[in-house]
Amino acid sequence: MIDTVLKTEALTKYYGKDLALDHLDMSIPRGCICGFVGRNGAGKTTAIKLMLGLLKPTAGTSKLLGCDSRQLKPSIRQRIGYVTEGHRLFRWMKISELEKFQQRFYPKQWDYKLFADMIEYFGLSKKKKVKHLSNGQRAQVSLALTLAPNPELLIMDDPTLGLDAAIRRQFLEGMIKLIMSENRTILFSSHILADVERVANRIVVIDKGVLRANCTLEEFRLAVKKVKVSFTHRVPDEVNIDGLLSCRKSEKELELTLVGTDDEKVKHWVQTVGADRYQVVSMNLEDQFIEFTRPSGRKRLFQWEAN
Amino acid sequence: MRFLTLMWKEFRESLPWLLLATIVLLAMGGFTLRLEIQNPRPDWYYSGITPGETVDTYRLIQSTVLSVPGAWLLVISIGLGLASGIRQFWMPYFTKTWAFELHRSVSRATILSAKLCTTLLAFCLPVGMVWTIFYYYSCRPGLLIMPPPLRIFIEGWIFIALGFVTYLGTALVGLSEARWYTTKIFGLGLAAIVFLMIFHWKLSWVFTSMTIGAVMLLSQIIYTFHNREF
Amino acid sequence: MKFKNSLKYTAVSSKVIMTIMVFLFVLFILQIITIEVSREIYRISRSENIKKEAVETQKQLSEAEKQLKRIRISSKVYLPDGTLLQVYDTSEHLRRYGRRVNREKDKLQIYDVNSNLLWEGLRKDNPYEYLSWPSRTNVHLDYRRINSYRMITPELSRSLEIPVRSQERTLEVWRYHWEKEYFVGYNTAEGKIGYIGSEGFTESKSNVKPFGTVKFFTAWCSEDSYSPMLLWQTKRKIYQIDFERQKINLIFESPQSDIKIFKWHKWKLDTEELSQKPGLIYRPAIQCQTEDGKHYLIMQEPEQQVAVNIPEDWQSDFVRLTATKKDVFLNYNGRSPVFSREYLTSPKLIQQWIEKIKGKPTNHWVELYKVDDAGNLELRNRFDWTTPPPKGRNTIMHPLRKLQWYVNSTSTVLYDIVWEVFGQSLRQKSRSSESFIAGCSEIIVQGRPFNSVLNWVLSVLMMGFALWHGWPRRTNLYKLIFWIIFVGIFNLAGLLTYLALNHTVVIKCTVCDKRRGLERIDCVRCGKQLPLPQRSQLDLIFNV
Repeated sequence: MIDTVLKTEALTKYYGKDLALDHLDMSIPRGCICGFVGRNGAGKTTAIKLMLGLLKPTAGTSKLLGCDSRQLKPSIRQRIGYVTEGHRLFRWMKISELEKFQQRFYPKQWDYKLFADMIEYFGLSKKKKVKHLSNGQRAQVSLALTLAPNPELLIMDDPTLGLDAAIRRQFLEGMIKLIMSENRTILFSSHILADVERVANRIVVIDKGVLRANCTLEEFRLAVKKVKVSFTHRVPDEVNIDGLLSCRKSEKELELTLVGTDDEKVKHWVQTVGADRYQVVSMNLEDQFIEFTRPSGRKRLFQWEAN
Repeated sequence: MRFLTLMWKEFRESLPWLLLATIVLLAMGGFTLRLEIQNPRPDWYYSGITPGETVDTYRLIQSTVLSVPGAWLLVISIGLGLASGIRQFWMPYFTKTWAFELHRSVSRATILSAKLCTTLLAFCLPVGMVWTIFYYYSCRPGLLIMPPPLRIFIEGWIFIALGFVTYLGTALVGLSEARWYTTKIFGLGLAAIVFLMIFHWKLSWVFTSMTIGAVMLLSQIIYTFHNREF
Repeated sequence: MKFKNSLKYTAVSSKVIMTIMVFLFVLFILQIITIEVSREIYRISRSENIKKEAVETQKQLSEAEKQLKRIRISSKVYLPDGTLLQVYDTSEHLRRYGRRVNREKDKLQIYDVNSNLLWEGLRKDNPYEYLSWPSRTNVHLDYRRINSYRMITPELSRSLEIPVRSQERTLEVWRYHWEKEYFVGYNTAEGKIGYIGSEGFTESKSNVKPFGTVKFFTAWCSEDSYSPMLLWQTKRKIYQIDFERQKINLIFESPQSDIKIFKWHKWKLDTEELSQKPGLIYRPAIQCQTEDGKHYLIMQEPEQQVAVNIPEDWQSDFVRLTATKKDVFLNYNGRSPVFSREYLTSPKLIQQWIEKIKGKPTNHWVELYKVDDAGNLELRNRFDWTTPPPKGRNTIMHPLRKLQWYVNSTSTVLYDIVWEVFGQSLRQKSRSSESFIAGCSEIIVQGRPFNSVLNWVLSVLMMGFALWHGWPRRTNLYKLIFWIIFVGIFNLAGLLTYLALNHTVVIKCTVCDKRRGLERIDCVRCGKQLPLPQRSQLDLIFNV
């Protein structure tokens, strides 16, 4: 029996008449590092806040560590670490004061050494006030505060938002270090797919409030592929192949984005349409995500973009 | 320990306003009290009463030496109530720290209680103590022909309580999910009604109206805080 | 769980009460602003016409009308032998803003009952000495004022303090304890010296007896003292309190009902008495009227008290008593018919008043009686005159009154219910010293809808709107019924409250295509749940 730390069932949220989240069904097993990705306004932060009981669902339920999100007991919250979007902390507090403040809520499980090591690792001074820290430094403090209590479940809402590449690298390395040392479950949302690729072993994709993917990272990487098919003669008008997500035509070439289509089927189709050759284009996770979530029939931003 | 930690946090956040209120009250209230005591009214004020004349009865109605300090107390109590309410319940929206504040290993009731208790103590201890000092000072034997009546002391505490009601009204405005042009500011509206009710009304009714107003505001604050979205 | 439910019900009802209170107050303010602005516009537009009408009326008066006007305006005074004189003040040109500027230059004309001119000249040269009557000076404090001073203000409450002074300085101060209702005395040297209550001075707090609620007092200094003495009225008693000698004197005690009003005459309170000519010698007297309409005259030199037997059909407010060394006199001013404020309570009664009373002539009379020691009356003289009905429109409704009725048709029907229960006492309460009571009473008196049909029609329309609005949003039928009744009772304020607290989002149900709310997960019309999202075959959902 798999131990599920996070489970949502038909989780729905309306903001006024706008549907922000539509029947989200997902579950996260223990020990999983799950990347929660989606475009701007997809509903990631809404979903996270619903899971943590900060918002009220219009319909559906959410459970964290077996407890209903709307009635999360203090003892359950004690086992959950949460990094807020934008790393909002009390600006008037010094880092040392923040440490004391946070530690009082986790008296038995606070890891002083871990916190001190992390602060030292990030090169921060405990005497500095939060309002005098940069965005990146604040993110580091936020991570240290969240990890020092050794939470069972770690939820991070866009933790690398606004950080430059160097700080992001540091942040992720810190995360990797900790992930490896303990069997923690992590759910983090991000716009930066490279970070997800580095760290996550599971991916959840949400698009306009609707769940589009909930699988292992490997399954996602294998499923979404781009194939370039070249023709000597005219390109066929209709493209009928299983798993076709999108298709771009040029005079003698077709670029197909396919989901869940294995190589055999591709080969068979290429032969059927009489193409000269085909080539599987290598894509990173970001390219796959963009293709997977591209809306059909949408106008291009810049008219001079190549088709 | 967690409750005290939350209270400490609220206290530190409100400290500048609390210090400002106490200092202003001490300075301005103390200064005006001293002025009133150094210029005792009876001799120069009554010198217009002459034999065989009808006395203007308004001359016989006297305010005490604590009247101007009392006015300062009223202004500062209301100001402190507004400032505390804004600091505790409005600022987290602007600084977006509600999520960090609420994700604690304590219930929402505890978080709210810490805010309310801190403010209550802030009114009772510094502000209340200053008023008590003023009253005690003006009752010193030999300072005045007549000490101010005990009723004046109680009225000062009514002003302090009014400041707390203002704080509750401000808190409710901050927590309300309604729009500004609908019922969001009605919390302050109720506090304003309580404010109007305490003037020119019997003391027993004043206590009753303040209690009812405070209960109405408090019940809404607790309910809203527990059920609100952040 | 019980606590949570109690909290929920308390919070929800508090929110409703708070919202409706604020909306009622705001609506009243808007109504008043509308009426007052309209009143100003109407006044400005009418002011020129009114001036013209007044001038034209003045020019058109006949001799008989001028005589009647003089009779109406002149003071009816009596000589001690019962002769009536009419004193007509012609010095209107010296009035400024309605007040006399210089009384020395007042010009008088004195007529007899047959309108024959007896004398004309300056007031100071008037040869006649007619009877004078009790009055009140302006320098007193009545119950309303006293109450306002004892209550909290932004500068705290105030206290009543009576000094005992020498020429140079204050020796003692006596403070009135509002709650305990007695005076506490302090000395500059010794501190607290004692108490003065209804039974006099005492050094012991346990022996002091309270006065009871003070209703009225006035103060003066005797000729040999710099310390005020008080005439102190409670519900049924009048005291004279001398703080310098620490003595009190019970002047009068009403046997049956509360004292309504008292006035004094030659009680050594008025400075104007010193300027009276020698001639008529009066006894110091206090005229006291009680709530049951009885009149008492308390005299000194020698001390005597008379309960006057006045007829039941008299209006007791128009009775005056005075006492000379020889006799006790009573003056009564009567009129018929008498206007009562009860006529203002409804359009039907106003119409009745216009038809039966306003359009008819009014009889006036003044009478002088002699009062014996038993309080019986003997008529000495009577003078009658009749005034014609006033000119002008006899319309049932002033245009502004009509506007007020339209504007007030958005008020709650509860105002009318409270008016039915409390009636005229609300008008009195609107002048109360307790400003919250006064404010609420004023809101009801000025804001009530006068049982108008328009008010009921608007209520029904608003209830219909609330039903239309609330039907797709309902989560509970009883809640919806409550709100509809609420809107019906509170009218516009109720509708605004309902909308403020219940205007939730509605969307179109994808199954039945009708409006439905989101407060419940199933559609209120067809019962279907929110639709599932359209799933694509390309979705990669492999649950754990």
